[in-house]
Amino acid sequence: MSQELVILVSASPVKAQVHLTAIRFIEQLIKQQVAIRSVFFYQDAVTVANRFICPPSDEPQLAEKWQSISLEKQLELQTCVAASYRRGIIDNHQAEELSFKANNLHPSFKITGLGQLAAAMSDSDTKLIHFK
Amino acid sequence: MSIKTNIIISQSSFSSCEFKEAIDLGLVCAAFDQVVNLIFIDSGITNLITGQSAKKVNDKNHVDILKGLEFYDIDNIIIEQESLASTLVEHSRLLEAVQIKSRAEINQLNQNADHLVNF
Repeated sequence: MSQELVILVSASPVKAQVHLTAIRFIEQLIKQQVAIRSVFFYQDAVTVANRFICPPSDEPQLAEKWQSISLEKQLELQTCVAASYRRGIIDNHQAEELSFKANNLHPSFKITGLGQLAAAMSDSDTKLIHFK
Repeated sequence: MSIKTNIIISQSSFSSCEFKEAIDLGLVCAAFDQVVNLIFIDSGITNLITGQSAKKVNDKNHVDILKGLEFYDIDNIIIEQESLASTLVEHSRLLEAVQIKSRAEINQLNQNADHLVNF
């Protein structure tokens, strides 16, 4: 079986170049027909999934860029549940649980457990690439 | 053969939640039968100093957390010898169960790992 890559991003979106490098890297991988198993956001990187982030218009719109690569390449963008809730990224389920009026999760991202990352790493055919 | 994952912690205790998130990843990887090496370098060594009054800074005792990891099949807690020398922390003040390895040995350990995650 051919090798698949797991992409881990842990840098805050304030460090935009880390996210942009990850996106460019994924684009090149796909051009070279390298399979990507999953894209996982951990630590401060999860805040990129906050749909209320409003960067200045002349700066990179990271959530939109992630959304476009996700749609174009059929990649699921997974964010760690504990890291997300710790940083105030709330999906619909958690919003209802806590009686919040709204969630703030960008629709292109999905909150999942850290187990998703560990499961992907557990496959002997996968290699982890960490953008920090 | 088990997947080997090395988790490198270089941030000092109580400065951020890096330690907690590193341990969380280690625990989940161990639950998936991966062999997890926790490697402490640079200021990360301060997480292993015993007798810290974590409660006074509204945090949890990191040494107690580390002591419990063997029950979750994380047996290898490693300190880089050169970092220990440069931080001037006395060996006797550290958690007993740690292994001290040189930078060269840790490099070798990293070469042999399937995955490497830095915190």
